[in-house]
Amino acid sequence: MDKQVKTILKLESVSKQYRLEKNQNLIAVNEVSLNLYQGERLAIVGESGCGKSTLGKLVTCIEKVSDGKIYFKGKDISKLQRGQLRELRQELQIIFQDPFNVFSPRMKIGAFLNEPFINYKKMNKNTAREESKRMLEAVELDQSYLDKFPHQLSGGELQRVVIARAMALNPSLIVCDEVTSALDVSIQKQIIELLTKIHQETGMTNLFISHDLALVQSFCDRVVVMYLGNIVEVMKSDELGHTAHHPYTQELLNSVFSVHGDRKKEINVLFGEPPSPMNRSGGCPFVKRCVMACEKCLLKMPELKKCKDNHLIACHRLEKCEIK
Amino acid sequence: MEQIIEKYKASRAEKRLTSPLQIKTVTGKRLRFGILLSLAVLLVIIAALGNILAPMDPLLTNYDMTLKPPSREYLCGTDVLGRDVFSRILCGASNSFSLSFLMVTIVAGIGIVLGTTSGYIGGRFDTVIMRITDIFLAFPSMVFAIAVAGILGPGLVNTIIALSLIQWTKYARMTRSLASSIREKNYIEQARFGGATEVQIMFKYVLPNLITPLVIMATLDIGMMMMSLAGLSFLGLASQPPTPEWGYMINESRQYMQTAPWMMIYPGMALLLVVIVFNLLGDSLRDILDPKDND
Repeated sequence: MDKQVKTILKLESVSKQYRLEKNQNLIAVNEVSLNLYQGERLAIVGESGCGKSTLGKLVTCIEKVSDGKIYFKGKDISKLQRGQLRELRQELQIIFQDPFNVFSPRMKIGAFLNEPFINYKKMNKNTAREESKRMLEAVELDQSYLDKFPHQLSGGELQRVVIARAMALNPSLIVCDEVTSALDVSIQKQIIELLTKIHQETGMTNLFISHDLALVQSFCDRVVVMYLGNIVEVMKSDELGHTAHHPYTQELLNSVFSVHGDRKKEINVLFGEPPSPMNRSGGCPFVKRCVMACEKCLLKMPELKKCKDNHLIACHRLEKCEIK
Repeated sequence: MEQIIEKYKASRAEKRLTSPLQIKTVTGKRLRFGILLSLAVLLVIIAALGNILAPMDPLLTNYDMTLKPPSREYLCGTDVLGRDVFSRILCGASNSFSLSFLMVTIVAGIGIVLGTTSGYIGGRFDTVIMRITDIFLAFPSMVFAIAVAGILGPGLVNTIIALSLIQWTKYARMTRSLASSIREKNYIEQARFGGATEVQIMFKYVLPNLITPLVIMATLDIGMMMMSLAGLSFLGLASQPPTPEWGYMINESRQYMQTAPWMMIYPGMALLLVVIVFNLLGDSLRDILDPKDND
């Protein structure tokens, strides 16, 4: 991405802590700084519990940040009041992971789709219904769905409806929180195709949270790899396959199964468990599982440094993208 | 090939629409509900018009006609004071049954409003409301009613106040637990992204999703309320003689169970009928209100 392109979302050392007991804090997101540019599709990947979903919730103000600032279109959105938040959500939408959970079982699809039009645009029911029909067409569903209940639809159809509603007000940023992980593989592809189509038509910015590296590579422009609440590597997604350097990213790439894989080949499993986010040591969070770990890694937390154009990495052993 | 697939799909769709089994179950359910609802409405009307429908004055005593068995003149016989049992049942309906109906409405209304707000808002408000319900729950309702009768004197209105003071907590508790679990649901968060205000969320998302079990509970409770009212009348705390009331009528007839069983059987049957109709109505309401079964 060129630097001339407008920054739409800017995270400045954002942290999120949860207080568990008296002296125990769970640090879900640790001093994350990030820029998101207009029209970009940025992926956040990492294993479960690495804080990627929390980051999505912080960006959409579902959760309040403990530290740091989030700027959306230049405005600080980390400490908004309820009314301001409501205004903000016209421009900032989220699509949740499991489409089966985001529908009230007693509400028809039509009422669900009408809502943003009625609440924000002050339309009456009939015009809102017309708009809803248009939105359904955009996600390739016909208008008979308006009078159905959520339980009559499949997961893929529901996710389409959710996308339709998120798109309704033409937001500038959509956070997709693992939108495909609750769906069948064949449906996943349709949803991604739909999102790609929408992106091409509207040029909307997308923060795509996922654990599926293969999917991220084909859908997104840039990839942010997170480990235990920290960003460990940022790069262009088309370079993911061959220029990923951080040992953790390498391991993630190794764990992707391929149809062309050799069955006789040994399956490499990353040793060890991720350390608990409750009591962090001072060093690199990945140190206990890293094959390249050295003394310095145990003592000092590595900073995110530029190692090439469009490539940031947080590792003591790697400089200029080469092993020291 | 494609034509064949289209045809197959069309035939499938047709089958789905006209499957006799499905239509049968849906209309069967609706039919059952319709019948029960009209029965319930009929009972309400009878109760409301009881005084007009009664062939005789329920309070008119006739010492020539005491303890007469059912006849053409006295459809359900007469009691120990020669009063017409049938007229007394009809007039008693408005007492026992309309009052319990009214009581459930008030009690459920208060409970649902307090429970929903306390469950959805949570925090300190929730704690305060729930401690208050705890205090009221600590009293056994019968003992409380007896205590109220002792202080304010026995009578129908006092009993109703006593029962209502205890009963609303049941609804508040239930609604509160339902509301606080709904609050955590993703669709509430999703509603906020659709621009819904907190009040809108309460009415459009929280209430519709918790109302089903509560409506069922309220319908079943009408029967329960009648029973408690009858019980308290039986103890001599609620309605006072000579007011016709079913529980009190049953109480009066105790001594004559063997010589004049009609005095007990007919009011008992009236009570049974109303309780059964409302229980069944509650059941069928549950079937009707579940959107998953109305495909």
